[in-house]
Amino acid sequence: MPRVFHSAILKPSPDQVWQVLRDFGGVHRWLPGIDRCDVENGQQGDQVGAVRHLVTRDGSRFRERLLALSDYDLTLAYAIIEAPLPVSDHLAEIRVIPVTEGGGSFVAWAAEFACPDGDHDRVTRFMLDEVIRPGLAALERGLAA
Amino acid sequence: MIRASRAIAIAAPVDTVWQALRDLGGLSAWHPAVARCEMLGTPPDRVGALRRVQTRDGLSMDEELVAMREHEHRIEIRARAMPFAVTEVWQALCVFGVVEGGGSLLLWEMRADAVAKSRAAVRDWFADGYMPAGLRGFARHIAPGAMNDFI
Repeated sequence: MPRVFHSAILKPSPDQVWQVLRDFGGVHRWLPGIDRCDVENGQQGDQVGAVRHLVTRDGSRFRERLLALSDYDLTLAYAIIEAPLPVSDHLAEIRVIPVTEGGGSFVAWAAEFACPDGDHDRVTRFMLDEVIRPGLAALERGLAA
Repeated sequence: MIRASRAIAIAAPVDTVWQALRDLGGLSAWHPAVARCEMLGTPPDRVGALRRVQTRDGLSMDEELVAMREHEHRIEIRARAMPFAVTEVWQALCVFGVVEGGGSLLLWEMRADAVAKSRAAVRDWFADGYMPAGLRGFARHIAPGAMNDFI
C-alpha cells in the first residue's frame, strides 16, 4: 500500500495553522489550485462526517470526507472518496505539533491508499507536488492562496 | 489531570535521534538535570525495563518502559516511584522526520495525576524545567556543532 509522508516546521503559530487546517470546508481559501469547495447536505465544514466537494483550477472534481478532528491533539483525518485518480482506501492524517523550544509549528501530513502498481509513482507525485507541498508552502506564507 | 507537551527541532536524522532515545540507560549522558541513571537489572531497551533516575536537585524516580514502538520511533514510560505526591506519571517521547529542511522533531509528552495542592508544582517542575532542559540537552548532545534553533 503506497504511503506518502511529508513534514515541515512552519513559522506561524500552532494556533494560526490549526485554525486554518481545521476548517475542512474552507480549503479553497488557502490550498493553491482549488477554485471551489462546497460542503454537501448543509453540514458544517468542520463537522466529522462532512463531505466536501472540490473543483480544481483545471476542472477536476474530488469528494473528501472528514473522518476525525481533534482540537485536543491538533489532528484531523480525511478520506478521498471520489477522484479522477485510480485511488481507493485512501486515508490521510494531518497533525500539528507546537515547537515549544524554538517556536513555530511542526506539521506532518501522511496519506495511505491503494492503487494499481503502474500508477503508484504518478499518484504519489500528484499528492506530494499538487497538494501537500503547495499546501505547506501556503500555510508558511501566511495562509494566502 | 496534568498534561504537558514540549517539542524541539534537532539537526540530525531520525535514526540517529531514535538510537539515542531508545537507550534508556543513557539518560544522564544528555539530560543536564540528571545526575545518575541506573538500569535495575534488565536490558535497557526491553519493555518492562526499570531505571532509577537521580536528578541534580536531589530527587529519585523509578521509571518503567511500558511501550516501545520501533516503527513509530516512540517510547512510553511510567513512574513506579516518584518523590512527588502524584498518583500517576506517564511520559512519551517520539521522533518525527522533518522532510522539508531535514533533521528531526523530538516530542515529549507528559500526563500525571496529583493531589490538588501539589498539582501546580508538579506541572511546573516537568513542563517548565525538566522537559525543556532535557530537550535542549538532547539537541546539544546529538548535534553539538549544529545550529539548533534556539540554543
